[in-house]
Amino acid sequence: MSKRPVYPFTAIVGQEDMKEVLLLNVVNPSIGGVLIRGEKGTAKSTAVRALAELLPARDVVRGCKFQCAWNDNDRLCSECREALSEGVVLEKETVAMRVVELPLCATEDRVAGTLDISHAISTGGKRFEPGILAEANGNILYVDEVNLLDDHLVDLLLDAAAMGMNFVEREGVSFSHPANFILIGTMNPEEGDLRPQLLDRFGLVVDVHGERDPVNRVDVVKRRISFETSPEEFLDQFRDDQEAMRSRLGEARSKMRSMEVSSEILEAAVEISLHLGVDGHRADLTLVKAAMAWAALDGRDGADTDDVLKVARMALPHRMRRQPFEESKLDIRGLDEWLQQRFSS
Amino acid sequence: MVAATVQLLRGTYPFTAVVGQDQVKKALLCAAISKEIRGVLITGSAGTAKSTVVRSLRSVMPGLRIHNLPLNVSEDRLVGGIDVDHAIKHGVKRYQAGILKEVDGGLLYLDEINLFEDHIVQRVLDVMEGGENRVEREGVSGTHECDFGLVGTMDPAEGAMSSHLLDRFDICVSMDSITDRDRRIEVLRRRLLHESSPDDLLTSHSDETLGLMEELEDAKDRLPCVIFPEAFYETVSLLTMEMGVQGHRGDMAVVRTAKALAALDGRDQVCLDDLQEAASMCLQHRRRDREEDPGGTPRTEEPSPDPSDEEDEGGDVWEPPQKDLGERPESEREDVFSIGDPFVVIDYLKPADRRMDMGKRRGKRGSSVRSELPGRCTSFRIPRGEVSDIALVPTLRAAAPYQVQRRRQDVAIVLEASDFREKVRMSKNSTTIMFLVDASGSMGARRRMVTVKGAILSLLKDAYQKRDSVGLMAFRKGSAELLLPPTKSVDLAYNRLREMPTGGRTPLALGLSKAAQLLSSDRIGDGGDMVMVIVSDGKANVPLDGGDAFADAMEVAAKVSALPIRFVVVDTGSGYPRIDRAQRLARALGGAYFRLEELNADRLAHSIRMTVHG
Repeated sequence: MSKRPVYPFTAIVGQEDMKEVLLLNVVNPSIGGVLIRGEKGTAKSTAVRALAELLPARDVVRGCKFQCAWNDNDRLCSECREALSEGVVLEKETVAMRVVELPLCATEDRVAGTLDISHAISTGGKRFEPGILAEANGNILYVDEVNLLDDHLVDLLLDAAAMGMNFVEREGVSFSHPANFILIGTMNPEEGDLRPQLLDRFGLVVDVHGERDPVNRVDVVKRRISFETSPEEFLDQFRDDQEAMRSRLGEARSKMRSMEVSSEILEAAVEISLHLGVDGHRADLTLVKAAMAWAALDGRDGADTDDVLKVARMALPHRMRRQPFEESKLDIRGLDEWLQQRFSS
Repeated sequence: MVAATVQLLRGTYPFTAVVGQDQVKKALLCAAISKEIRGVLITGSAGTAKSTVVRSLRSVMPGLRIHNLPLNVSEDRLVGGIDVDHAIKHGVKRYQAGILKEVDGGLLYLDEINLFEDHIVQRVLDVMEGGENRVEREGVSGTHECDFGLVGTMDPAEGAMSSHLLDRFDICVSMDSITDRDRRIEVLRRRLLHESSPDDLLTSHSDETLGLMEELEDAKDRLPCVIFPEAFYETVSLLTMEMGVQGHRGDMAVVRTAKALAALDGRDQVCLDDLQEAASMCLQHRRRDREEDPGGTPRTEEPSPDPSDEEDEGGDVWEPPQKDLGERPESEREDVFSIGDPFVVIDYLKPADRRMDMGKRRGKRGSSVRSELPGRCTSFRIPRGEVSDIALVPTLRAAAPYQVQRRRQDVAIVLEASDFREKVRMSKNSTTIMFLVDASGSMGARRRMVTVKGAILSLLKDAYQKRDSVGLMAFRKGSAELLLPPTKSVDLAYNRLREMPTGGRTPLALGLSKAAQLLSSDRIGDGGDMVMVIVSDGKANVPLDGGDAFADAMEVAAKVSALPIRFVVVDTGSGYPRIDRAQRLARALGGAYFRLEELNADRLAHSIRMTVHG
């Protein structure tokens, strides 16, 4: 199977906010994904697909259809659990992390998985056929126009995201498997809102706009055209940049792993949330994790209040409302002033 | 001992490490030690650790099996059905039990319980109350005893639960939002520790955990001996009556919960404190005169900033003066009024003549059963006429018992025409609701617009929870302006509503015809239901071309009433004598008529009670 060339991440012109937010998630997947809001044609999908090239490899159970994480015995699929209980030693295999897309028109059974019909007809036996949630396990789940996703599919996503597991109890099948994914969604806000619960599941949010600088605009078009005419050549041009980015991400990840959580950033995160009246605890958690990822990406060994402030703009705008209709209270300027006063001393 | 505990509890968040949430924790513990307590419902907004608390229960009750019920569970897996394997091998129909059998003796957990299909929740509640699961489906019957605890969690912002389902939960408590800085930091610190090194968190809470485990064992043993003083029964019924609780479930819930509370406290007798505590857990959600929406609003520690006494029947709402209104005549004045307090809306789009399929009454009002694609498959049936949309699994299940007799050549399963089952699909025809709002000067009188905007906001909220599309059109000053074409984004609608100015004369006829034109254009509605909600006092004073303004409006009304649009007229007129123009308009449109005050579910319930009780 010949792989279609993917536009390199490092060749994307501008859109720095979006790129940063995506990279933060690569550094620390538990940040909880990204919601990218903006009009059509702002390189949203290109960036998400390009991210695939920069993703790290991960250890999974060899031969497992669901790519259960190796060494995480609390979250195994029904098959691995059974094998483990029979005393089988689960072997390790290293696979690349990928971007799995959830199309809007997907049916419920294809998303959650269902009874394997051909197996049932040919042998009369029951077997679980994995769906998109299974494919997404350990990977990035990408939903373009997530605000247009049908309600019952949103329910499935929420259910899986809540526990990191997908439980299927349908049509005589009873099966569970891990469904631990980084959720990345894009939306054009004019086409409808996202349900608050789903909104809250996105760790970070970023608003993108079309490039306004004429020089950059020309660059966008030029690069795109040269990629389309001779992809191989274009990829060669960016090979070094891509390699540099990969190693930068690798370093950031190892820094992240050994980073201590300081009281300073915990306090900053909580004070910001409280000041803005954010109810749930996900905001606090995301602030801390994203701040640490930011520092790691910046090549530092520890995060401080400044890092929390930097990521506050990405972690909070979508969590500002207690009710679906209240106006978003996030007034960036007001927040800036408050932050300066509070943390400048 | 510590190491053994950590080993045993690996992977769970320690219950004792949950910061605050005392009432929720108490409620869960009551349910954990008392089999009598039927159902605990926990409400709270997103991200308040509802499910963490529930799942952490296992850390203090190591033997407890918590069974997670997935949202898209099908009825055959829940209650059980035909044993397919057995049927194929032996040609005999046999009942195979489902999840309700597996959960026997454990705890069934429904996260986002308000998003489950009503019939699933109903079935679960029925079985829990009856203690027995009786199945008659797919040609098999089966019965088994079934004893389990039930916990549900929900975010009220995603839709309410119908009050008859709500009433069947013994306990309903809400998550506190933690606003104390230090406690919130502690929540965060523990959460991060749980993610990075869960064993450390378990170790640091192992003493407390072991202590609580012991207490629970003790409480469980003690519970059967706990005495509920005879005199307290009367106290309980006085209490429930005073709180306006209907039925007797509340009384019983209080008694059962108070006993569990006494046992948890290590006492053999229920005291007044237990009663009080039990009442606050068991009765809040059953109050009929309560102000908050069904399902309870998340409690916040700060007082609400809006003064919510709007008892004045004149319809005025207290509102700080915004700007000098000046001395200009009413019809020329232009103001932007703020939005009044929202309320829970009655089911105003449910006329008697609309057939309610599947008994679905809550939420997603556009659901209707049909067998063509597309839609979500909810169940199956024996086909009527030609089969096109085969439900394969049910078909296989139906064919299974006959496989032994049928001659199988090279195939594992032989299907005959009589086996075929087809899918029953629930399609969601989205409803498009166009709000046609009278923004003329007469609406600004006595700040009526504040109340009106509050009402429209309430209708918008209702539309959001039911996933309808909404549009907003206002008529004033001789023109009708489309403020918002139909969209799913109620946020946009909210913003436009806030900015909508009031003032000028009332071109009712023009507004009507424009809105009807828009709704009947092809772009809108994609085959779904269409509703026009006209919010006006009916006092038209701009004719179409020089005639009588109201007569014009009536004429347009008669014309558009033939369109496939349902009309609802909300009369904003206040004071006496009431002018019946809005009512006449509703009649001409063949639509429903409500007075503004009637839309408020609580107020309506209140006034009905007043009529009944004199």
